Amino acid sequence: MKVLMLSWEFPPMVIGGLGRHVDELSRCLPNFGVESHVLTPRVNGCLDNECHAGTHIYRIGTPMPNKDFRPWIFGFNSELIKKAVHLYHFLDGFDLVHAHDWLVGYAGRSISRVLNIPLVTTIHATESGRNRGLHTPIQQEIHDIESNLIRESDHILCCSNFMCNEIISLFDVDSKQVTVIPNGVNLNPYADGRGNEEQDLSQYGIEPDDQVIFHIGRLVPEKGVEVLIGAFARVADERPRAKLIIGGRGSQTGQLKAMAADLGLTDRIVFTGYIPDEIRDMIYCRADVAVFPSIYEPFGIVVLEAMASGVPVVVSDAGGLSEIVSHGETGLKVARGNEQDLARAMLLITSDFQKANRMRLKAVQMIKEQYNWNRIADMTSQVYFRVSGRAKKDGVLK
Amino acid sequence: MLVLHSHLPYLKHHGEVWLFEAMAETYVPLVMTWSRLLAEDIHACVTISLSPTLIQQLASEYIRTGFVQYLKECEKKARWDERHYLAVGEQELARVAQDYQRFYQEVRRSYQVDLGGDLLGAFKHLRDRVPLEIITTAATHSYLPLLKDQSGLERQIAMGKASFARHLGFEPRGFWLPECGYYPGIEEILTQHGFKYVFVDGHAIEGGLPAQAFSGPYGLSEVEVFSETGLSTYSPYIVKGHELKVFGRNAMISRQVWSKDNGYPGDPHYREYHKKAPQSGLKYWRVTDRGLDQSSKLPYDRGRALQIAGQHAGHFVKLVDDMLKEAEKMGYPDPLVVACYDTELFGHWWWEGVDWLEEVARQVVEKDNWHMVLPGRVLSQRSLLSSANLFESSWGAGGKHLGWSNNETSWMWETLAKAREELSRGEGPLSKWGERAQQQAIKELMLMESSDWFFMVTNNYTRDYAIKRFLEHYAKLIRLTSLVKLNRFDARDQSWVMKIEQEDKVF
Repeated sequence: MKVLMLSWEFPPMVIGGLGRHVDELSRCLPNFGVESHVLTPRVNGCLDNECHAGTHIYRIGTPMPNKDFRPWIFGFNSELIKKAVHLYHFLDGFDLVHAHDWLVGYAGRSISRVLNIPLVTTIHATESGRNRGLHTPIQQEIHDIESNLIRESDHILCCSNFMCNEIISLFDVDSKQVTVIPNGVNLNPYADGRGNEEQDLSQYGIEPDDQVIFHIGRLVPEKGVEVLIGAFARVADERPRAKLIIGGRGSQTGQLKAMAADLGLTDRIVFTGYIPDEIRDMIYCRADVAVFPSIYEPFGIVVLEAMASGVPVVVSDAGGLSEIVSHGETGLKVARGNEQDLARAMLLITSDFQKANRMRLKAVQMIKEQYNWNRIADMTSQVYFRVSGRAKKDGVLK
Repeated sequence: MLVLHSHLPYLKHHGEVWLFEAMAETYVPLVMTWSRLLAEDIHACVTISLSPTLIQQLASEYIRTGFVQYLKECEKKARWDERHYLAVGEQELARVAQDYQRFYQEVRRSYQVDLGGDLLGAFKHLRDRVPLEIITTAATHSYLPLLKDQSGLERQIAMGKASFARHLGFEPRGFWLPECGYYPGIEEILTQHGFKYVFVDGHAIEGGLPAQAFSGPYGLSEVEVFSETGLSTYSPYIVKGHELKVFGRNAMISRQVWSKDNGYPGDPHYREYHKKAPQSGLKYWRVTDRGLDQSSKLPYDRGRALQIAGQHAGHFVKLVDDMLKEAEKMGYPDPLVVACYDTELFGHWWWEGVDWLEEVARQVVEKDNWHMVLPGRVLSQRSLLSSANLFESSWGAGGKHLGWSNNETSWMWETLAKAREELSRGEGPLSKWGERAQQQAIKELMLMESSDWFFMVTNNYTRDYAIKRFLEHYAKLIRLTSLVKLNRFDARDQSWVMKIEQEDKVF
């Protein structure tokens, strides 16, 4: 089976989790009898065409500009259409087109109609969810585009039960039309070095016998970082060697730094700004606990990355996070927005080392079993076979 | 001179409700009104522009059958609404629902019995009996000043005219420039195709600030000020150095009807366009107060609204009267006031608009110092016209191209250029199927060129639909041109080409 995959981001140009998802998925799909052809925007300095064992990447159109994003993304949709149709004739057809989010929605819809092939759409997040409601005409417009894309899709994929419920209630779709397939994560290549306290974080002012509490994510209200800072203020006195590293950037940066200063925690809280993956993985290997207190979280790939690095986690009971972590087993879970509970959980995990160790080992085991990309590609391919009405060769699906 | 430009984009097989609404609320009532006037021996001159896309759809059996079905459904919805409003004790709304049932019954009866299910035939029939001039426009209503492609321009004009002649049985003499979009250089080709006259917006002739200077999301800095020429729309002109004649739209008269803020349609007693009943989608309320939100709208009272329409007609006729006197004082002998509107404004957008038109026609007949005229007749009576240089212009926001060409639509123009490139690459003799695919690809290009998509994207008016349509025609074009290049049509390709030929049978 041949699948045409549309994605507006793809490594090395990665904005969020979507690009990585498409990358890993398309690479594992050939293991399940699916040849994948990924269309994505051109990136300066990257090859226009790449091919590895059953996965083909085509970089087309113009690279993402710094401004005028909207005209560019619609123009990119027209490029997608052109390339898709040309490939269709060149490769003697596709069995299915798979679109990721509304940004490639128009192309997905046109290609599906004009080539008469089914359309599968993955909704990674919704405009309404991201903004907790629709407050501006642009948000309303994006919501409408999402709604029409979903209506015209043959099947919808999303990454958590939380997202599935959100999609069903926002867009009034039949639950049979939606399949939940989680995001995957690879084990941290540095995870073997865990416990090796020599990971040098002196550039962030971390000393060898400091306890490290780590958070990473965009600094935006939906991630609940002010709750984390508030909770850390309660922990700071009881754990004089504890330091909080906050990685990432966003609209709230200034406000959060001011908050840390007001609480007199400037020397205990480190704002690193943007962190490359490699440094992130290094910090994970040194961290004593990773904390994700999100208010809205469709999936929560970050917590999987923390778990895959063998770090004990504390999360809020929001969306996808809540589904991934089972309280007391693979991490600790607290009520959204509750500083006191969050502080208590951080204190517990930084004192009961045995429990922390048990939870993190269990989490690693779970990652290996449930969140590996081969399993996810397998589940996705089953949806492809079902939707396109093609029986899988080995007879698993009729 | 009253000019009504009738156009809808190609909606057949792509969601036809919009077309059915215009047929029920505007075209049928308009034709019936003019027939009624005729029966009373009132000969009200009107120029009707019919776009080729509209003509093709009105002629289509599929649309004609679908329309009757649509009318039946509307009647049924109104009946449900009436029952519902009676049940909840909303007497006034129930009465409006009753009016709707009568309205849709009447339209259906008129359409099927009086007009024989054939609106085009009805227009033609009227033309034979009353002073009515029917003209046409570009094939798919493309915005010509930005087409900038000679063969594309040729197609828009030639195919539009051919389609018109095929369906209406005569050749149109007047050409409606889509959106009044004019650029110097278009005269030659229009003349070559037998067109005698066009309409432009007032500032194309007079200069000064365009009538639509401040509409749309644009600041003053983006509005071009055209230098004053001293010419006036009170007179037709001959385009300098050409044979083509031109009429200029009268800005003040246009604003009086069009303007959102000061125009007639915003009157508190007229039916509110935007508030719809949740189930049926029918409209039961009056404008009330434009500042109020939807929930505070009061029930519609048709009797009162019609009274106002009568008053507005009187106001309008008086306005033209004063204007003509003023023009004569200024030294224009036999001055001309040209009023151009989108036909769908009357009835569809402005529910009482057709009644207003009727009342205007009745009142003008009473005038002995002026009367309604037709462009062809005016030109034949005035042998010596002054010549004028026209400004590149349109009737849209800013007076030029902003309404169709701006940051939101730049990608559409780029895509259009790419589509044209794909089309021109075919070389060598084509097989029978190659020829069919090539012809269909040209139609897809022309469907992309409709000014409607650009306008809808600019104004964020059902933008999703516009982008979807634009890109879908593009996708079809790419597939068709790919097939032409490969020149290999297997059974699957052939049946697909046939399907698309039916789906997008715009000519």
